[in-house]
Amino acid sequence: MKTSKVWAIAKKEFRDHIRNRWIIALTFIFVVLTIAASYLTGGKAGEELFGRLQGTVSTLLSISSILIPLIAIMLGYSTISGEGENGALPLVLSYPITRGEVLVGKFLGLSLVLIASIAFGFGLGGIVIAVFAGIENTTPYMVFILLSILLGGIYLSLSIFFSAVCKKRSTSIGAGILIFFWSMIYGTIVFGIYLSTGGTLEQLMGSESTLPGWMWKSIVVSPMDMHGTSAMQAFGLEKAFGYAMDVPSYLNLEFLVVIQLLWFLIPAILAYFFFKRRDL
Amino acid sequence: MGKAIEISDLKKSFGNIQALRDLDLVVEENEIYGFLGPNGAGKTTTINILLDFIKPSDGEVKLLGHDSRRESFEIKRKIGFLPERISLYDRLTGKRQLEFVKKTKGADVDLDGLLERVGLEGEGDKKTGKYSKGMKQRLGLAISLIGEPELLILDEPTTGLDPHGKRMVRDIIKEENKRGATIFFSTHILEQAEKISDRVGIIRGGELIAEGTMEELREQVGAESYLRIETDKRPNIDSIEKLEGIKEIEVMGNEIKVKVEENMSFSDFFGYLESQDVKILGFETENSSLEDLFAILTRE
Repeated sequence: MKTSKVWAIAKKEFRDHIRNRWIIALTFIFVVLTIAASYLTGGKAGEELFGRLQGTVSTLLSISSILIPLIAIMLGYSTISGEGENGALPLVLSYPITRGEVLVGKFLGLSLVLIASIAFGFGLGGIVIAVFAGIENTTPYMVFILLSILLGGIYLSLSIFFSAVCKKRSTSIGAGILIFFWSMIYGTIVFGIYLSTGGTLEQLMGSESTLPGWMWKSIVVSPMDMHGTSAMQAFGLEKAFGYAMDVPSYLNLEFLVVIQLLWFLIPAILAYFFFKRRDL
Repeated sequence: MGKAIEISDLKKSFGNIQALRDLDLVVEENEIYGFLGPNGAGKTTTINILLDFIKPSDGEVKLLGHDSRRESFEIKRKIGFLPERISLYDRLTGKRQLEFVKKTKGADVDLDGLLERVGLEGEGDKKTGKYSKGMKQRLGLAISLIGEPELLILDEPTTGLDPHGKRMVRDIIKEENKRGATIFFSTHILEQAEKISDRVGIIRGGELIAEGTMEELREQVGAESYLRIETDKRPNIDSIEKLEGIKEIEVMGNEIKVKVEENMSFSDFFGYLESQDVKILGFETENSSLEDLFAILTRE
């Protein structure tokens, strides 16, 4: 694997997608919402719904955990299927460059676009928070940004994987939509099962939640919920599946990050094997 | 001299469809080889196998002495490729994309000079999304030339170009050939193949059905020539048909149309007319058109 070739691909991907109108539009929405959320929840002292910090973090989280996966899916879904279909990728592969170099370069370049987008959104949001609420939460905020990058990385990895598996651009966007939809409704599914198997809302809402063990364990199949839980933990808050609750001790930040790293790595590795064997 | 391309017993099926059946083809080094066939004959499939984009079902392919599957990386250092439908990164400028290729090929090339060579001078700083179809094709050709490749594989190189552009492609092919490169190009237009190829291979239904120089191909299909003669009066044609080399004769007033075998000497025929006291006012010969030839060769 030659670094110069990987970089050539990464640069090309970055330059190409930083001009992608969908990415620009989503980043713009992201920036506007984070600034608004930071100002409204972080800047207004006194209005304490769940506590000021938690309010800010939950609001930012609800924005970022939708928009970041969307941006990541938009970046990755057609990078192999679409470019394979339209002929751009075969042309690149007629140069002396291996498929591994192409894939790593694509990951790198697209990740940089994603990081730029996140840095832009949370950077400006962070400035607003710093101005209105002070800088005492700088470290957890940085951790939150890193976790968001990890979340984006997972969805980028998943969408590139689907792009490597699917023959057509249209099927890979379908797969992207499915994985996004899955992530959005996962909490609802879990609670549906919980409530239909005898669980009650009272058990959920109390500070001493008594959720069954399987529910906690099942969090590892939902990157978005893991992200939410770990982000809250970064700020020293307990929240999972969208509710404030006591999280079991084994679901600590480190554990959740490791599982999320696996969610990033495994699709990436699988994407390589599918891409290597793929006809173009 | 070595072989630039050696294809033996190449087979490729897509499901039940046999795209290539026992294709054998050899391109000599420093040759311009026209790969001619109607759409759907298997030209692009063959090229995709040459470049290791798709795996052959069976058979062996060597490019510049390297195995197309195991040594595809070695091959790609020595070739230039122009795909059938050029697809560029429309959000990037033409020059950026050339730079990208230059870097991946590790080549040393003057990009402005290259842009000028393909007729894109002054267009390098525009995004290719703003390029016309012909301009994209020109940039694609420029991309294929980066790194002075030993072998150029051009899939329908004149697609989307006006007559000027087509001539430019032919000139570039000749220049590259002079430099020492082998050129393998596909086309479905016989005229394109005929104009510059040293040899032409005709593919139909996934098989090579004819191969050789244009002259050899004409002979293979027994192509005929016509002779059109204008006379001052209607000759007696009964005994003309006995003359050697004459296949068919048609008389319309004072005009005679004779179908003759190629390379037949016409002097016997003229002598015969003179002996009949028929004056020849004018004549012209006509080869059966190339399109006819192609139609004969690729007829189902």
